[in-house]
Amino acid sequence: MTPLTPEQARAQLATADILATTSGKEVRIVAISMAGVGVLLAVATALSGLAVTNKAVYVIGMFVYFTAMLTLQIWCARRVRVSARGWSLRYGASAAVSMALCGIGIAWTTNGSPSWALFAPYCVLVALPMVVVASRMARR
Amino acid sequence: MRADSDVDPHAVHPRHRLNETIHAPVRFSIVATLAGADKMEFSFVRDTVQVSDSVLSKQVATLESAGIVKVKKGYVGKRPRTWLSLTAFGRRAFQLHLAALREIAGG
Repeated sequence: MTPLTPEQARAQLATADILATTSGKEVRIVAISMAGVGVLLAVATALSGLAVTNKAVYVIGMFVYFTAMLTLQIWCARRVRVSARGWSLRYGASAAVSMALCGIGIAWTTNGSPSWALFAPYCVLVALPMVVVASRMARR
Repeated sequence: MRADSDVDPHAVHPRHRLNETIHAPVRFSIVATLAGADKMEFSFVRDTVQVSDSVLSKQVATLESAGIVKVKKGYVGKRPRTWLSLTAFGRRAFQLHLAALREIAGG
């Protein structure tokens, strides 16, 4: 092995620091898609509130929802080239919380149209876990 | 200036703790890049390290045989994808390598 001078060692350490942070742009793509999934879950929850009173809007809305979700997943799978270190668990946990809130929201609407004064903020709450984790991931 | 009595003649010089597999410049860049993520796609590492597909394949094969890098092949639709990641051993080996470099850098 070629002996290293202190200057060469410092140069290698600097290189390592730079290379370890090159994935920032790629991680932002993951964050965008993550926030997108959260917003779409909130939209699906809001649409379930229209299932009883406005069936046509509900059906068209759900079609748009599934198309958007599918498009987002395909775009993400093709575009993402980096899995951010230490974020898989937080991604999974926030997705699980948002999906559980979405399920509770849909169950809430099965007995009739909910009060939108309560239901609209609840829909925002559905998106929050994924949007918050996504914004923290993007700013890491 | 350091007095002769400060030098421990039995202390191992940090250069002996450098990992020979990681020490090569291209392999060092590959491992340093992978250290920043859980896993990375082959093309991302190739673009970051600025080497050809064949050079990266060869160096990754060396790192894989040393147990430093794990290679996982898969598909996204019909497109083949190769994911690279550091093994737990590889991550530890890189940390020790960096520690040795810091000691050398400190003089």
